[in-house]
Amino acid sequence: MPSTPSMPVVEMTGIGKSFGGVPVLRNVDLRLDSGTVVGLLGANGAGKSTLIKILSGVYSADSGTISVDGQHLGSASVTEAQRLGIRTVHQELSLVPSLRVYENVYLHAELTKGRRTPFAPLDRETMIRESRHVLRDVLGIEVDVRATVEDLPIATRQLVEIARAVHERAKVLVLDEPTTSLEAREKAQLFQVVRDLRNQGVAVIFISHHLDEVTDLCDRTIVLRDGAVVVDAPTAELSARDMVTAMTGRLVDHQYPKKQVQLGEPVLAVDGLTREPVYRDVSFVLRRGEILGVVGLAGSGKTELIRGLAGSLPAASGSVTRNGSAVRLGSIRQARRLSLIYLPSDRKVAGIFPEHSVAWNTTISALQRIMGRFGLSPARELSTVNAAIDEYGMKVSGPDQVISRLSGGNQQKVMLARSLLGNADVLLLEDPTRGIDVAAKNDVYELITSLVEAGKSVVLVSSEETEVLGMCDQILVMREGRVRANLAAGDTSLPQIRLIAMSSEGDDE
Amino acid sequence: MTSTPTVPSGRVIAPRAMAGLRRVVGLPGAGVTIAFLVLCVALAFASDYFLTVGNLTVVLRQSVWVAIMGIGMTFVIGMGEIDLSVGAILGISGLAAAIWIQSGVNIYLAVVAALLLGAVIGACNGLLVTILHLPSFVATLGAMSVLRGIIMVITGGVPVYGLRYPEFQFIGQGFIGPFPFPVVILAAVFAVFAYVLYRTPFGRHVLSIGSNAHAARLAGISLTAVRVTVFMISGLLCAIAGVILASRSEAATADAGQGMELDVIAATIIGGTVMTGGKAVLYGTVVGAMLMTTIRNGLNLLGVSPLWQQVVIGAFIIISVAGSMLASRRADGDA
Repeated sequence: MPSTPSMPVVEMTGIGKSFGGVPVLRNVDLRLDSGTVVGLLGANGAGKSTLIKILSGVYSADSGTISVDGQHLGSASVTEAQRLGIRTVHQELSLVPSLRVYENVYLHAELTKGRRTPFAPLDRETMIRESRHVLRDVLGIEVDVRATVEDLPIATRQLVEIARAVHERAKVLVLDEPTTSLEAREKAQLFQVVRDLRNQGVAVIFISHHLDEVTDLCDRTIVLRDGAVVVDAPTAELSARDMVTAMTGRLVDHQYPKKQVQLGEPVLAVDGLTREPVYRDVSFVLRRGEILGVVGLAGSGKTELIRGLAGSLPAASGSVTRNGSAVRLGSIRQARRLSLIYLPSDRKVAGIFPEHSVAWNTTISALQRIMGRFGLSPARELSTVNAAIDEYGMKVSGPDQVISRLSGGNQQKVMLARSLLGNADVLLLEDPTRGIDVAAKNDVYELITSLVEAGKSVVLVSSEETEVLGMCDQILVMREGRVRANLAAGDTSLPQIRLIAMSSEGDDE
Repeated sequence: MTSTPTVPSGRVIAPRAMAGLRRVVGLPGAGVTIAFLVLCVALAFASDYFLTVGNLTVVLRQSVWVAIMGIGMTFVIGMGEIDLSVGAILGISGLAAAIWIQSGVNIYLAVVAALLLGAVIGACNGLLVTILHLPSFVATLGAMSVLRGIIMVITGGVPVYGLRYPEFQFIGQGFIGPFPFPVVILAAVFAVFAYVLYRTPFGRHVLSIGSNAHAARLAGISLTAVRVTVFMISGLLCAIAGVILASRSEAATADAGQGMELDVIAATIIGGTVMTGGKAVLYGTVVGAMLMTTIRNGLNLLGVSPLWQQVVIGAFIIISVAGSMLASRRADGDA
């Protein structure tokens, strides 16, 4: 860690902000020194996003002052913040998917031949060369800069977005949950990039739900709770437990509420399931009450496999046995008829109906259950949904609340309730806790536990190995489209799983 | 309103009344209804003739075509699609009924066949959208042109006249009690499709697809079946409107329904259905159709040139949709 005497680049003092009379930030002080990485922690709704939106000029603060390099940053202006060198990589990437990588790197800063006017001819050669330089030499990513962004995996798109900020010589780089869609290898790559940038004097704000990442990367850690700073200390002085305590305001004893459930008969057995080139020769047996975890890097085939089981990326060969009889999982509807129900990781894109109510979102897969004498019965819907709200512990103002107003954790509870009402027997969960806060994560784990206690079975695909270790009975580790190991959760460890996922050294003979 | 004697001062009542008012204004379709009522009151003062039974019947009757087709369009737009072929389907179904009747086919049979024709054309639109994955804008734009071309080929531009058969005339000109038969048809169509949209799984599936097609697919909804059915409904309702129009004018002209697709889309959007799909306000569409007819009727009564009516209606569409979007953006607030 460099101990060079550092200058405050950004000084935010006494920041306050309310939305509709509800205070979101109260008297927050944030000092950023050049050449340091500051971890910003907090449960969803603690005010992290609002704070960085104020810093990056999206919102203006109700009270307090912000200065960047001694210059006062006035009312909200993204352009002004960017001019002062503040760059934010948001969770929702701001790349233009239909453009090429180099066009995105130079978006709004296109190089032209001759004078820089809006209608001057573009200097493609230089843009391609420079983008390649930033991506390959500075960030160490092998990517065709002429590829169209929408053809790239999410993890690579994120690095392209960071490349854009790096390329524009950011003084302050804000990374808003940059690791949610990254696998271990890409994470390590990203961290290396962040450390390099720090050593070059960039101040980095790193927002994450992963405490080990913060411990690993950040020099200083700030914890927000209910809009106020509750901890601001060197990371070395904080344990993970301290951080969780500060975030939640109460002690969380065990993070994974796993209970041993008596396993029953096989409910789903697959043998030699193959869909070239994404997954091949996958075999496993899932028993009643069992949670089967699937881990692997991005591109290992784990998400494609679960989509194969869900019927949306059907296998070309291999056999599937459901409750003892041979079946085909050729389409989503076919899989659903066999009570295999898939919950996608991207709730916004593939899960929720954003402008509709909690009730609508809960009952949409099971409308026959709320039929009355004159079609859909509002009374039955209300009682069904009220029961679900209680059972799943949704924090909502009522069944009529519009779902897009809910936090990610509560949206996920609605999704689980929808699957169960839709007669799910085998739940196919893809990163069910992505982007939701610690407390809500725990709720989701408890729900999963109660489901298997009630005799359901779960396939859990996750990019968090600890989650799989903590929750599952059986773990498949995938690499390059194949299952490299099938482990009993009790007999394995994080290092073993990582080794198998990341290198051939981990394979059995 | 909500004022009760126990409330001590006006200062307390006012915000409560305001909140109540805001809630009413925020209801889907409230904007168009309020605009319609305000316009009616204004016209009642401006013209002695407006508020006569005869004139109101005329207004209602003239709204019937756009309203019936708008009900289908509400499904289509609610599903996140568009149907530009509605005017042409109206034209070709009315023409088909007219030709079949004139060639001696049983009148009831001819009408049913014309309705089926509309439904089949609608289903074809649906298949273009689902099987060939054409954007509905393109598929129905093409269909509109093809159908208009076929109409011209068949008629050579010469109308089919003289549909003076009492059974057929009744459809567009008859009365049931005090109510014109077309208005009765509109009421029946509205009742049936309000039920379908709001009280059946199918209706929820339509709006779910409009809200998030990807999520709808994962929720187990058959996108193909729902989409084809919705375009079929739209085609069927256009054919109903086409038969009513042919009956009312006792003729089928080559340009019947020309340009009507824009009125139908306008009525739907003014009525509060969201252009990008997901939310639909069925009664709003009917009020939207009546509102547009009323503007035309009122401007006629006030002696405004028909040439200026287009300008007024266009401006009204822009203002009303901008107003409702502004209101919904304010309601969504700043997250």
